[in-house]
Amino acid sequence: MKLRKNAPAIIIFLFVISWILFVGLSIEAGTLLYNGIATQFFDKSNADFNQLDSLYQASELHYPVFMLGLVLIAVSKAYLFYRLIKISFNREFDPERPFIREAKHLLTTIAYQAVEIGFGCLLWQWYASWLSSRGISMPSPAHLDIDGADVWLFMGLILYVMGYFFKKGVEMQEENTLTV
Amino acid sequence: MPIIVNLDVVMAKRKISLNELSERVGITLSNLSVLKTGKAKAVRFSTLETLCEVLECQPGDLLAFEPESPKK
Repeated sequence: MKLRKNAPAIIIFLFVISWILFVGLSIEAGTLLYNGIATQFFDKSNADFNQLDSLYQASELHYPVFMLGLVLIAVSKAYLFYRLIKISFNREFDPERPFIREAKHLLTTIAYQAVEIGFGCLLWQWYASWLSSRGISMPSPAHLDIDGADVWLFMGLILYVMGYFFKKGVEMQEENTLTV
Repeated sequence: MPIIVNLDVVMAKRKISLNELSERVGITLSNLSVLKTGKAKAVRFSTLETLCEVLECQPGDLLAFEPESPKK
């Protein structure tokens, strides 16, 4: 952890929260991946871990596809928080002078990633409802952690707008730095 | 950049080093170096005033304008 010792308490708090979320999401992604592989190759009864045993029994094609989507969404979420944490390891990052190019780039890429996660959740919710319409008992989107697509999309939009303003801030800060 | 900073010329005439100028003007060496090498994007009037006072010169001695040659 390379945050400065005199960083505001709120920054340190958010940094700690980001770490906790990153670890939690990584564990979730790892669990989903392990469960999917274990179900496919070792023990079929593992499918009931996510209440997807009905899906596995109904179709051995749709189950790995569905699990792959869940894993990709979970990995994307974990990677998003990893990128957030990674900025603090940038030596140029100073909470007192935040308008650096790396931060602007981070905001923009996180915005795109949030939109991707939102669309991924929407697509997989539709996929789950389509499977339900074919008589397969599917758990709720909240249980599969693919709900809140509208929140991800909204966050992506807000971050993209913030990235645009950050770009202007970077230009102003750079000009201020070169003002003698 | 069309604005040319002749700080090194005036410093040579006054026989003053960058370190000494930095101490007398109250600007860091890095900022003075930015100004001297022409990388500065802007100069505050207060800085210009202090430089002219220390170097006993006019702003026109420090700054010159050379328009960029039109592209053919």
